[in-house]
Amino acid sequence: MIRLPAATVSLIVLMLANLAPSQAAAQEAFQVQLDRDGETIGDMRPVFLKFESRPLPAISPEEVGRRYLRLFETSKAPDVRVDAFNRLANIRARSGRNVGYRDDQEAGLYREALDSYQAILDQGRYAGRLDELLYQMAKAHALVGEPDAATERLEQLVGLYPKSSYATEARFRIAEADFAAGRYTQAASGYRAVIASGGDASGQALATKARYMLGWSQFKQGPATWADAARTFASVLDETLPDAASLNAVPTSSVDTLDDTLRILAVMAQRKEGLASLDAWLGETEPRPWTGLVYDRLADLYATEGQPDKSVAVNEAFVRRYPGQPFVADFRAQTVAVWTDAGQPTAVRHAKASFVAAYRGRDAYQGLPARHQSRWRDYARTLADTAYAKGSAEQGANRVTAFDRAADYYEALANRATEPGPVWRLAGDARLQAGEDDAAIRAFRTAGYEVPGYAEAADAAWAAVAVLRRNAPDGPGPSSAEAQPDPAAGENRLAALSSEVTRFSGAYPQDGRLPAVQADLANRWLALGDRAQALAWAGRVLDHRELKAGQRYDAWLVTARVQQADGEWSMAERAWQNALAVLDEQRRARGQDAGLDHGQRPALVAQLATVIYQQGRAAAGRGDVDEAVRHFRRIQAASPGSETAVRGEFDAANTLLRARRWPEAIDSLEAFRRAYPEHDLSGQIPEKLVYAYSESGQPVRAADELVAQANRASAPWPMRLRAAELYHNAGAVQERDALYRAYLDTAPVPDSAEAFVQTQTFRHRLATSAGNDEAARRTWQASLVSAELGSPWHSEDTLAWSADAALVMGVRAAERFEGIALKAPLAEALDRKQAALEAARERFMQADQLGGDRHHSEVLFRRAELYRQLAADLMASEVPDTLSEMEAAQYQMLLEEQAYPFEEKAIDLHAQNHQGLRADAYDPWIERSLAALAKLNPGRYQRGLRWMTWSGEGQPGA
Amino acid sequence: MIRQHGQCARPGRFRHRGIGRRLLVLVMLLPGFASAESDLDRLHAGIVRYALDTGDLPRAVLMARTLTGDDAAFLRARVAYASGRRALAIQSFASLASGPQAQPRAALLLARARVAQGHPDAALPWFRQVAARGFGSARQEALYAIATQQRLAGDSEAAGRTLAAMEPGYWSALGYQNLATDYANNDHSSARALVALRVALAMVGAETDPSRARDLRDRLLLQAGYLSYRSNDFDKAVGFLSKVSLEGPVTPEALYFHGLALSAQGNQRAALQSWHRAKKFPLAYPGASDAWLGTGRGYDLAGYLGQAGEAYLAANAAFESEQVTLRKLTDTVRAQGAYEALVANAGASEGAWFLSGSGTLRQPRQAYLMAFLEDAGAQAAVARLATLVGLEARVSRERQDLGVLAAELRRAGRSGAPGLDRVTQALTRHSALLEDMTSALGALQKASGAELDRLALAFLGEQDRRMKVASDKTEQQIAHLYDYLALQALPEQAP
Repeated sequence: MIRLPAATVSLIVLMLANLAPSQAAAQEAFQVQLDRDGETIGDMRPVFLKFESRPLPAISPEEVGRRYLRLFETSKAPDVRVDAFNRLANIRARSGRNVGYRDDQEAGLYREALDSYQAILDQGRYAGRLDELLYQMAKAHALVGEPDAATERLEQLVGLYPKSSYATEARFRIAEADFAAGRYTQAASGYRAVIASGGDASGQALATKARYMLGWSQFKQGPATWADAARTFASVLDETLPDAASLNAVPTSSVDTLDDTLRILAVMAQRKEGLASLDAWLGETEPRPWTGLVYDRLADLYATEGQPDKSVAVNEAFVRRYPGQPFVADFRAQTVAVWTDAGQPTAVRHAKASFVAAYRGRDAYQGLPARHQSRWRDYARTLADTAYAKGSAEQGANRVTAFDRAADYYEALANRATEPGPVWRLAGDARLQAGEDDAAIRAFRTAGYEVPGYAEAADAAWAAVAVLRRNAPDGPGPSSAEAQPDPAAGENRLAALSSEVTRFSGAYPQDGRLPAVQADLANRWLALGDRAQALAWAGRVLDHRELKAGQRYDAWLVTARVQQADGEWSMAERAWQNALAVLDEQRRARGQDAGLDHGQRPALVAQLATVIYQQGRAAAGRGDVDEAVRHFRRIQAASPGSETAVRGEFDAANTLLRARRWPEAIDSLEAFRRAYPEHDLSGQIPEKLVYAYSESGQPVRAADELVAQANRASAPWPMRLRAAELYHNAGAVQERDALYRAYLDTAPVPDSAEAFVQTQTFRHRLATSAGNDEAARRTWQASLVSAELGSPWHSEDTLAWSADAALVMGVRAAERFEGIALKAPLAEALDRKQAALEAARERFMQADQLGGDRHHSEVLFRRAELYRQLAADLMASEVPDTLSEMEAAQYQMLLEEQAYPFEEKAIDLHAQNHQGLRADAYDPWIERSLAALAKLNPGRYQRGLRWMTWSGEGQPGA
Repeated sequence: MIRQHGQCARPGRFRHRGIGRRLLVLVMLLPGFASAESDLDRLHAGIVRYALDTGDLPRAVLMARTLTGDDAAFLRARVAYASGRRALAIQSFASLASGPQAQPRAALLLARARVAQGHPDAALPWFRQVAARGFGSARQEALYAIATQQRLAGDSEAAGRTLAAMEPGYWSALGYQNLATDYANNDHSSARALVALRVALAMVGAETDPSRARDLRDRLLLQAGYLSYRSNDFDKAVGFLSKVSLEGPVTPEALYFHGLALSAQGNQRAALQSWHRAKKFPLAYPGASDAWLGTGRGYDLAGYLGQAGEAYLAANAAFESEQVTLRKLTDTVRAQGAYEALVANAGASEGAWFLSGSGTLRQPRQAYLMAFLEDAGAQAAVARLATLVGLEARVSRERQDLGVLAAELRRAGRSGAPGLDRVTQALTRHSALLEDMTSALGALQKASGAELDRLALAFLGEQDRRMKVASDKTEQQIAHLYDYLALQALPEQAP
């Protein structure tokens, strides 16, 4: 069409608009301002459209029929009419009712339709195509029962429009007419023409039908053309089932055709030479996707005709030739079915075994469709059960073989079974029966732990435990009776059992069998010497909420033993107490638990006491005195009167002693002695008490204790001497001196320097403490000096003490000497005086001997004074009145001569003392000697000596 | 936006352009425009041109006589052509076009006239002359005309070359559209046609007049959308059609195909949106009745059979109602004549119907007028009659003016003005002349009106038949739906 340029239109409309301004103004009144939306369709503002399911009217086919009929009758559009007419026919066919029109009106309507077609043809104004019209007319003719007229129209169509899209169908229908009339040869050529014409999709569909019908035409022509027929049917199958995927997507419309095609191929093969004929027609190599279907049909045919051998041969031929084909499993299954139908159980079993073996592999099985997988499971189960039954009935090697096979089947089946649990358990059972413990355990484990939802999983898992327990050392099973030659192996087995039980307890913590086996394990580990394991297992037993008394008792016993052995005393105590508690509980309840031995109670108590005692020791070792004492003392409560309890008491006291807690220690010790006076340990008490008293500042009580003890001792003196020392230290001089005296009364002979010094000390102390008892003092001084002089041993102290004593005695003798006046009878007096001098001198000499430098100057002085005194006394001695003056003078002279040597001696001794100055040992006695010298020898010694005091002035550091 | 002017789409738009031209004339009338030629010459020429452009033929004829200056001959030729003295006009155009100045505008008018006479071959040299020497719109129109002739002669390659030489714009776009139509008719594939349409779309982009650019663009997009849909390229179809403006004469048709493409993509809801919008347009527009049917189909495909049935029933009611409208319109045309019924009364009635639709600013009667005026014959008939009506109105006004003048003179005459009789006689003569003209115009109007009536009745008859077919189709769809429901209700049985 030629469009005018829009500008032209615009001009015209412009003019019109100018001419009609009032109308334009009037339109404004009718304007409605829309909601704003975009300028283009794409920007169009959407409106809200309701979508709701409205109730649909109940329409009867009659109503529909009326509507179509009205449309058919009133519409002038031929396509609408034809559509209405066709649909009317359709709803009549579908509903099976005479809707729209009565049967007797049908022909009239068809004729009317034909008239309509014809009218369209005649009008020549038909918008559609004439070939279509011819086709529709032919259809109408066919529908009104005018096949010849229909064929005529179709031939007209083919003749006029050989390239029409309807031509192929027309040819097909012509061929159909030939076939129906039995003109097979013509029909075959007609069908060939259809096949050759090809065309679009509908043409292809027709070609497929034509090919199928060509096959039938050839078949109908007799066996001579069957090979052609077979090839034609094969091409039908090739087309309909071009690939494996198409097997699963056969359109419903093709099902009958396919079925029929397969059937006729099978029938032809069966009527000829069976498999050989099929081979000849289809070829043996390169199977087509549908080859299996043909074999299947043939096998079915044989089977239904009572020839199972041939049927199976066909099946097996397929399997053998095309092992990779998808139908292979069906054929194998079919073999089973054929033999089953034929009632041959052995063959059935072999067939099943062959099926199961073929898809045993994972990939093979996965490749099977679900129904075959199900079948595979059925077969495997049947075979397994059969083998199991056989094993149960057989003996020896046959039994093992059968069970072994059963186990194989069960295991293969298990993972594929819908309920794998029981199957795994059966597999385990069969393995056990076949003597394959490890495999049995694996199977039981799988059933027990890896199958979700298996109700008897715990029993299966327990079976694995039971097998391992039977083989573990010290087990109750038969193998435990044999000696375990290799401890490592035993330990390994026990470890295996332990790990199994651990797994079991992890999965089934509430299982009632668990405590017993765990307790058993604890005992076994303990027996094997692995305390850690034993303890752990005992602990696991005790973790259970509900336990039998025996299990609890065993567990506590093991725990106690292990912890005791490990030195875990407090925990061991708890364990022993718990074990005892179990026993006592049972005794009270008069329970008859087989696992309990009430005779063991005392031993348990003893162990309990021991571990408490050990806790005391441990606490003491740590220095925790109170704790230690508490432990030691509570043994008594745990095990009254036992040796351990006694020892505990004793150690409690010792601990206190060691801790220097004297009052408590003393109380404890005394209490112990009161409680167990006869006990061996009581012998140690006094010593400890003495120590305690001593250390606690009560030496007198310590000494008293010693004295008391000494009185009972066979060798009392050491104790008494210790007591004396204690008295000495405490200032209890009286008690001490009594002991010293008693001791010295025994005239002890020192056998060592120490012993000597000791006795000297005693004498010295006795002399010192003599107080006013001069006699005693003199006695002790004398004995002190004499002992010192008579001893091969000396000490500084003893020498000093005895030197002092000797000096004192010397001074006393000197005083006695001095007191002897030389009176008539002079000789007698002189003898006495001389003797006194000698005595004094001897003592001074002793003092000098014993004291050394200590008293040397004094001794020299005193000795000198002895001689000076003697000289002076001589000079001053009473002249006998019997003498004359002369005589008296002579006597005086004589006396002077006699006295002079003594004076000289005195001067000499004083001078010696003076010599001591040179030894820088100035002391008063030297000074007194000088003074004496000044009187005796004034010329030499009476000088106004003045000692220069040395001052340190001017000396640095003074 | 048209709506923003508060005017109905098409008349408003065109009137708008008219205002522009008036302004142009006013500008030209301004004193500053006067130059070499005398200002008066220019003013006269401008008045004639304005009179010609606005269809004020009497004034043009009147003024043309006294025209002098450069354009005088050309304008006189135009006036001659416009006033029906075609032979004289063609002769004048020819002499101007072939004369020493070889005026391209004269050549263009001459070529147009030859085409209008049915001698496109004779027009071709003149078009070629315009193409060679002319410029601007004239040259584009000439090239378009050349391309059209090449195309009609079956030489689409030559046509393509000619089009390629054109400036981008309205004319080149139109040329490519026609080329695309040829390709679409001749080719199996829509590829070449779509390429041509894309070129046309690019060309129309350069058009400076926005309204005619949009109008053509919409048509190009519709064509491209339809071709894409026909090639089952639904995405592309939706893409083209989405760009069609919402307010144009092809909008309903575009909406219908837009919906079809969306439906084919399975998007029934979006399709229903498009059809719902299309339904707001009067059924006179192509696509509107299809959209009514499509709505039912859309609900059916979306699975809402109840609503589908209701939509079909509603469509049927709308078609029935439209048939009634058409019959009433036919009756009105028969009673009042097509001009009165369609053109003069357009939009003046049936507001209620319009309000109930509320989707568009158009009114059925006006829509039918627009559809009717798509046809070139109808355009010519209406234009002829409109001219006659305009002339008659003018003559009548002149008569009235003369009557008033005469009455005034008579009143003045009583006061004895000199020469009054002479003037009165002249007035009487004029009046008689005008009366003769009026009756002559009346006769011409009658003949033109009869021709217009014939065309309008044929058009309305065709519309009525179209509605009947649409109604049949709706009935068919309802029957199919019921068929389905009835079959669903049947107990299952083996086929």
